[in-house]
Amino acid sequence: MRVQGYLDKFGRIMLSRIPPGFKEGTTVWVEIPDDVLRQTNSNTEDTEQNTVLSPRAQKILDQLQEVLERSLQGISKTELTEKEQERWEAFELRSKLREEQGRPE
Amino acid sequence: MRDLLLDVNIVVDVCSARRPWYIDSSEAMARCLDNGGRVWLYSGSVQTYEYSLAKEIFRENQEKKVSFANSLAAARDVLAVFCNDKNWLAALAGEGAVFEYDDPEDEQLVRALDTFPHGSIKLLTRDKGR
Repeated sequence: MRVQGYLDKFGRIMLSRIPPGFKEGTTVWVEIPDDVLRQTNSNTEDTEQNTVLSPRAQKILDQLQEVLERSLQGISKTELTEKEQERWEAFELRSKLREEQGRPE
Repeated sequence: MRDLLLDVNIVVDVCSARRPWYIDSSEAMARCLDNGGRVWLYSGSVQTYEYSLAKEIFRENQEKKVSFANSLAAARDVLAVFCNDKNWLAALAGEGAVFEYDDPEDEQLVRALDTFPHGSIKLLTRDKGR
């Protein structure tokens, strides 16, 4: 059976839905389209791949990523309120200013 | 163990697993907690946490066509969980009159840190100016 999903930044497979009768721990094969693979050996990615996070740090990140993924899949809010729109615009300007100053956001 | 007050950029790093900084940011937090320290958030920065994280989620998920409204809702969900085991540092009246400073946000954090005994807390940030 073919099921649509994607890989998150940690290499975990996120499926859009769980197939009926699915058993936990089942081995699956994933086909990654060649055109989405970047030819890179950047220091950043090397560092990430070689870094072993402490159990607590890993747990913190896993928990937050799980909430984020679940939230993005379940949310159907489509519009900002007027007040949210104003704040977004203000924060966009704040971001630009910080970028000009070379400061992280 | 010294406590940590998290700057906005650290919160966004950890909550969105922002590359490559999430590694150092999450490890610093974890080390503080492992050593009995406490991690603090500044209540005067709530909107900045919220909108900065939403912006990062929005940026990271553009290919999936996630709207900013949905990114904002997701940011709130993530922050609600992130805040569960953190301590909130109250924004005090004396931290309000900061508009004459070059960076009012920075000045607020500086003043907030002054409410702690000297050397008991450190601001965790990637901002070299702080």
